Amino acid sequence: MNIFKFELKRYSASIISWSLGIVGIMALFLVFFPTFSENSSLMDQILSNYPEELLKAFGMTNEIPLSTVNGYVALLFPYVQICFAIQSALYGFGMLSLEERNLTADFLLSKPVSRDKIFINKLISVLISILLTILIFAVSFYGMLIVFSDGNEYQFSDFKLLLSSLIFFQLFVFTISVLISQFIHKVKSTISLAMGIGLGFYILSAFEALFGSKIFQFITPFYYFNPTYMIKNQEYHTLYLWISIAVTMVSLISAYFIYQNKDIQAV
Amino acid sequence: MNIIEINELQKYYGKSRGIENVSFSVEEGEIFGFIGPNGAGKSTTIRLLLGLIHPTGGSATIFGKDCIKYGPEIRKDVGYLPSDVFYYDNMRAKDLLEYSASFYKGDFSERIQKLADTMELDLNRKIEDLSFGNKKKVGIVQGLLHQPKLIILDEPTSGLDPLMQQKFFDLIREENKNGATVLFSSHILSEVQEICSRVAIIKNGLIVNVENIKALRQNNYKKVSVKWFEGEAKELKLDGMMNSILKKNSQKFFFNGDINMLIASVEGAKLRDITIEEPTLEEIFLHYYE
Repeated sequence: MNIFKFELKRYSASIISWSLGIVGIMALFLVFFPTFSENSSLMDQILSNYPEELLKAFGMTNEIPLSTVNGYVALLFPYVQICFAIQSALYGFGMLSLEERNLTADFLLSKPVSRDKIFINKLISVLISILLTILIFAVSFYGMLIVFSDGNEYQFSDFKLLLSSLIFFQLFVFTISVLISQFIHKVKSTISLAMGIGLGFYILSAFEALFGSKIFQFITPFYYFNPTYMIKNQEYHTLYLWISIAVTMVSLISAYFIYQNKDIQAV
Repeated sequence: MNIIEINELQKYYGKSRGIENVSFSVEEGEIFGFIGPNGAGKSTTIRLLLGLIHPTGGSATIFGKDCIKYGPEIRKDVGYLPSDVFYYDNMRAKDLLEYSASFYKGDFSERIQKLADTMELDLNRKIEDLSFGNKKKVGIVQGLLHQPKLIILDEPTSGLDPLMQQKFFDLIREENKNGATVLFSSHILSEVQEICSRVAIIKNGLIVNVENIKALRQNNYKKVSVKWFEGEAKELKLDGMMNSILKKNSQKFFFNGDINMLIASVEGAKLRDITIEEPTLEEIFLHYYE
């Protein structure tokens, strides 16, 4: 219990700054929505001049008109997802390996506590941090819709799925990062690894849109939880939801067992 | 009763050696030295004892219980001071020590304050702003605050000034008097000599010898230095001589043969000076490392 409290306290500043950051980005996007929807015909004209591949790569598929709230949110939501991905990757790489880098693993593991307990306590504190960030974002998101929708029609319920998908999305990136961190001999900088994971998955999804290749669909959570698909169809890509849940479970369980028997290196 | 018992302990990292074969035991109530040069396997052995790493062979017990299997239970009564300093970012010394104390049953705030006073440590400063020596002190308080029955020290004095080292030794002696057993690892022999009663010597992952400090020093070898008057030099050659260095008018060597033979061999020689003395621990140590 003491580990859990201690960890959660250490995350508190991070939860606040990530929430503020992501809400800020979403606000910045939504501020432009009224102008955007007013001049949507002009916008469509500009976009039609761009090569189709480029538009695809940035998710401008025109499946939902961009002049609607739904279409606009669907277009920009991947950028919010990138932020969430970096946050959870950061927590994933940091959860166990930061202790080793700062030598506090020696401190913690020489206390009368099993690795089992350490893992579970740390895991719960990260889960709570992630959920809190999503919750803060979701509440602010709805608030901002009211302010910035500018009389355009939308349904709160249209975004329910999108917002709840963040939980699966975050857990997927987080658990994969925890697992990878167990294979890296010495994690030096968590932020660069986290940026790599977050942006890397995003770029894979851009490749997917460009080439339409099936392989990419299976390996990036940006495709599993594609905002356009979820808003348009009001359902998850069922297959990919299950893939993401399976990968999450396998990563978490493997990381758990690796950590139980891992040698904690001195520097 | 043996507090620590290590039996043919071995650790390989893939193909590279951590330790090859380490066996020794530490009795209750003693301050046991563990010496060897850097890279000999001292830290590896200690990390195995604490369950930070897992052995590839052999076994070790603390309080009669297997180190890996009963790790958390054993560690209730173990205090560990790592050789490197560590800290969580953005934390005061006090916060870290309170966190450390929260792993043990009881209230340790008075004890923390007392230890900090002894070591002259300001508890309200952020750990990252402290000097290396002061960070080390945080480690010392952290390792001793729960009055452990076994104290494991891995090169504890590096970074402490001589005055602090002395205070630290006094602290360790006091804990020892109150019943704590101590495993003290170091590569500095004089400090081991000062505080330990027995010592294990490790070299290239193998225990070379376990000896009583007194026995180690009295162990036969004498350091002999002979000086002759100009032109009177006559090299001594005796059974039991080692490392003999002959110069123009002097000779130095280690000797563990019959002392009467030595005296007889210089009889009648024109000597300017002769000294027969105890070798320092360093010199004995070098002998083991040949």
